[in-house]
Amino acid sequence: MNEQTVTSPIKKCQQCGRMLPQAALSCFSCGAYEFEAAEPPDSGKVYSYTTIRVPPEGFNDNQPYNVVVVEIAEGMRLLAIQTEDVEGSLEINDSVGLEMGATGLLTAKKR
Amino acid sequence: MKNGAIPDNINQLNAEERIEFLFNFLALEVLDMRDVSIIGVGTTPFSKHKERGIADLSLEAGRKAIEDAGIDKSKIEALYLGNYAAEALVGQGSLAAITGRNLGLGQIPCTRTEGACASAGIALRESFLTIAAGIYDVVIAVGAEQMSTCSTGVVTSVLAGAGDTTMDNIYGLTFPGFFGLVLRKHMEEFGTTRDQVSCVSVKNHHNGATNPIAYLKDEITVEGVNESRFIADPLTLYDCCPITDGAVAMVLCPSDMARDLCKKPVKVVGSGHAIGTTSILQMESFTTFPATLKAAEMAYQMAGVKPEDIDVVELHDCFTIAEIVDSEDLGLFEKGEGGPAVESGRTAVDGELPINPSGGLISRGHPVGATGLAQVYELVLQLKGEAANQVKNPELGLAHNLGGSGAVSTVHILSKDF
Ligand SMILES: [Zn+2]
Repeated sequence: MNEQTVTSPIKKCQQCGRMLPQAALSCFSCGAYEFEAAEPPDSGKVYSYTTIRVPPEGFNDNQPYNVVVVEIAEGMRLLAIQTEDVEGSLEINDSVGLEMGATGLLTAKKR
Repeated sequence: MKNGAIPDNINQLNAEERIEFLFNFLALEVLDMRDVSIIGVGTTPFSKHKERGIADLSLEAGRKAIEDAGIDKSKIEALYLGNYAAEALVGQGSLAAITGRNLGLGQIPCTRTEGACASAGIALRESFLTIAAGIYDVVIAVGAEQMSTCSTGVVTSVLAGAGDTTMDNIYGLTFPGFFGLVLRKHMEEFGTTRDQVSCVSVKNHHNGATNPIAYLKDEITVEGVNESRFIADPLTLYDCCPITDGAVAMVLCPSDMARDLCKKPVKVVGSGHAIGTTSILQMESFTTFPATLKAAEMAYQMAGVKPEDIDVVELHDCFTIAEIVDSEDLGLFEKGEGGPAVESGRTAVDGELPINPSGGLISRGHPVGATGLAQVYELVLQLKGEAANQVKNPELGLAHNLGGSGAVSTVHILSKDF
């Protein structure tokens, strides 16, 4: 394995503590521009999800996958991808495990 | 303090009095805005125009609008062109200049507006504002998009680019996917049923079948929608608008001038334009779009009317569930009542509040950069009593255009001025 640092998909607002996707340029809650490192929680609750059957060209080798909106605290949500057990395994409010996937994306696993 | 009068003691005013003065001064400026009317409209048929170029489509719409207005084209002082992605889809930039040139408008300023699927709503808004402010007298607004020459995969990727590529799309979220998430949440929060959602598609296919410019001409059943293949569960194929090419244009001028030039001018009495959320992670709720709420508030306020005053609506049904959410966000129905309203026929052409009599994006088609003006095109025909699916004696029409994943919205309210 190489020594390359894996970037967390998540960071935290320095001002209000909101968890944000790594690419966020300003805080969704308070508008601040300063962030600190953070690791995603290891679980969350399904807020909504969809099974993508017409992916953008080449994404996930054109196989269906779930995009899961995971609530990690009241009103605070993250996106995760689920590529295993895609069919009919989720319901809103289900608890899902969250992991860093090989692609650097947050991955949801049915518990 | 009298509106507009600069008080002699302006230097002695305290902060509060200065604010009051400024407020009154600005209010006077608003009152000074000129009324604006639409005097001519033109459109291409909505279809897959694979054999034609996008500039050919925008030219056809523009020529028809100028002819309909019966105005000498040398009178046109500016052009605004709504287009989302001609560079990515057909490799053509500079479309505003190309369209102005082909129309023979001379060396007037031609500006392209982009707000994803709301690009043409913005073109109309800018045309309206520049005339209202007294900058120009006659402006042509155009909207155009060509999509059918690309594969579905390329179109899906290009459209996904209207969402946030760095936060949402990296997870493989597509536009149907975004509305699949919204649909599942609307069902959970309000008990909206699969059949109710399918009724949007059934109604809009029914309307489009008799609209000569609509792309889809086939009727569909609730079962047909329910059982069509999933695109982004729970969203099915017939929940989605089709990939379509088309262009629409209209000529606008001050209402005083319009009454002399035109037998049946249609006045733009309200205009709103606002941004909302640009990533799905910024949304507080999945069942409302703040961009729509704000744009609608602006338009209703300017027009001095309420949702219950509206007689006919063309709104942004890029997906069936969007029509339900939009109808609620526009204040036409209470939250959660949009589904039952369409199911019970209240939004049919002969219902109490007809929505998308043209067939909407779902049946007329959705060339994204043209749609905002296609909606207004239908309303102009409705108000003039010349629509294919004519609503009974409408006085006020509302057009709602939504771009991106709730990133931007425009709302326009139109009134007969004859
Ligand atoms: Zn913050």
